[in-house]
Amino acid sequence: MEASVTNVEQLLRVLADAGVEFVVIGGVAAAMHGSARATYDLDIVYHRTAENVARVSKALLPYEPYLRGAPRGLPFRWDPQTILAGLNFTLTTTLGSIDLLGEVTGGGTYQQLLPHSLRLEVFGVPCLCLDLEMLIHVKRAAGRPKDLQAIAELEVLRQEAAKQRRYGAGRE
Amino acid sequence: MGVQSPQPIWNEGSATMDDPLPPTVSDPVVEAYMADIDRTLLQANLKLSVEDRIRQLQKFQEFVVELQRAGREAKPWKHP
Repeated sequence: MEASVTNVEQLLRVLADAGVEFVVIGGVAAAMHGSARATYDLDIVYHRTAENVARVSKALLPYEPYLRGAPRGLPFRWDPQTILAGLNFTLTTTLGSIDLLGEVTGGGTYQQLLPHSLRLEVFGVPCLCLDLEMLIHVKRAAGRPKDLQAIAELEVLRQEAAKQRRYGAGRE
Repeated sequence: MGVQSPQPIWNEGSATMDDPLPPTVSDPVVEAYMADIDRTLLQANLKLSVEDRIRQLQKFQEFVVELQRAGREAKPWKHP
């Protein structure tokens, strides 16, 4: 696989500035929790309301979203109608790769993920990130053999974070 | 600006070891992999701010892209 640099900071900023309702999942969420594994795209679950879909469409349009891996020149239009006609999109943009998911296996929709989300401000950008337990759950639900090592790392992170919390609490 | 550990939203119990949902499944394959995870690396990451964790990820992406470029441009070795 050819790697590319994804400007996570700028993508988060663009989405947040446009008021897009989304939850960060996948490798970037894992990195936010302390994972040391590499990832090359930003995965988000977006709220599937007409208003939010319009925001997603408008926010990414200047960055030339296109179907990742698809041949150039397809009649692909990035607009709310296209987003509403589909569900999950794996895109390239001039800011890097982004996966926009209307639903995630094992976790469901944006609204179903909210109770399992953490509020973060990263690079001054407010956003929601899936919590560690649900991140492990959706990775398991995906059922991909390639995720087994990632799940193991997240389980260890969960243990280490809990140890750190206990240790921190003991010092207070 | 430094960002500290993520704080739970909606429900205070959602990010703790005691969270009943979702349960951690016992899986011998995952447990076997867990034994080989470098905990020191993760402990070091946990000391970083969330922003620094993302910066570290991006630096690694840049590093891999540079290695791939070098690989593409590699030429067969010739005796000088």
